[in-house]
Amino acid sequence: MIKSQRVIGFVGSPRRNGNTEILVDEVLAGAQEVGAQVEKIQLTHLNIGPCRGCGSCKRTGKCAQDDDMAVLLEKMTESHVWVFGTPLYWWGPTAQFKAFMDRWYSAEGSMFQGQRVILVIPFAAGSASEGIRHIVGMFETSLGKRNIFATVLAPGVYSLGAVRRHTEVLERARQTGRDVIQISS
Amino acid sequence: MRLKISKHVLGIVGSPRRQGNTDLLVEEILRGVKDAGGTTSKVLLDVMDIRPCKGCFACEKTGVCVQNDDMAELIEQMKASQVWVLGTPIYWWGPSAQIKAFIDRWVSISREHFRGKRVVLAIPMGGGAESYARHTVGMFRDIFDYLGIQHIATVLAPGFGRKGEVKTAHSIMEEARQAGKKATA
Repeated sequence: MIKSQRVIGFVGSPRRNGNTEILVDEVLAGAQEVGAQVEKIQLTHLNIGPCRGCGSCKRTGKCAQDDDMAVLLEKMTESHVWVFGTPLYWWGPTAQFKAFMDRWYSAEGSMFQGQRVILVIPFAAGSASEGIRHIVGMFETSLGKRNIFATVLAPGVYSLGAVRRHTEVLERARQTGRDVIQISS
Repeated sequence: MRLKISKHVLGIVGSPRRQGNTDLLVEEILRGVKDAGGTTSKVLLDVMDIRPCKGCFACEKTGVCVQNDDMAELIEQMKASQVWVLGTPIYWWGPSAQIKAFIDRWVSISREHFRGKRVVLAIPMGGGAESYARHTVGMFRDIFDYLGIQHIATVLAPGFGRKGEVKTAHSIMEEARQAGKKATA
């Protein structure tokens, strides 16, 4: 029997039931449909202190901060696919998402190797133009372009839950969740 | 006789490390400001209570943020300054979570308070090439263009990961000092 794949989704938006969460939910639902085990994490509800830049993790292998991040790193290590969702705030990821990302510093490099990643980025601007190039660039250089399985962009969504009316984006998110399990396993 | 009113320059340090490379570069820029007759003050974001934006958009209706923390006082300091020096290290090809939390809170500030402000960026990084800063500088440029902020100079310090070592880079420190003078002229 094939062991089912684990997919973990991280929501970096402060809004409950906002566009980021709706899209992450769709990706996870797609993966679940085809047999994956899925889990969703709301970063804004967790206690994740920003990196202190103390460098102690490079000596001891673990972060000096005792908060929710240790469990998240374990979950990331156990998962085959990471879904990273953040709205675009000021041409970058949210501070909540960036705090989570900065804490990857304490992780072993091996955690990232060969990992499959799906990015989910809703934003207010009307087209997937220049506005997302820096945030996508940060992710691509940090994670390695080849590890990014897909990027689900949702342009033109601003108010809470507006993406529900963009059925083609919802379907693309769901299909991405199916594909990441079916195509690469 | 024409009276010249001296400029006030606010340095904002987005690194968690006190007297780290970001802090030192910002201080050197502020020294240049004083050379040119300006007055200065400096804040360390990491020791302030600046919570991430909650995405509630209450500020769109009321003009003020619902969060009661140190940001309100910092906004007053920003308004009282003609030049801001924004300093952040590069973490994962992006700005630190601390400075991103500060930037995300700009959503509550009326556009008129940004127009015509002058900004100097100070960005040290462990990576050995200036290109490590490209997504961060790009993000800031998009923000400045949108808000009508004058981007006066960017002081990049590649290859400085250890705390405070930028002090020994005389040409970069000189560039920082000149940037401070230029911003004040």
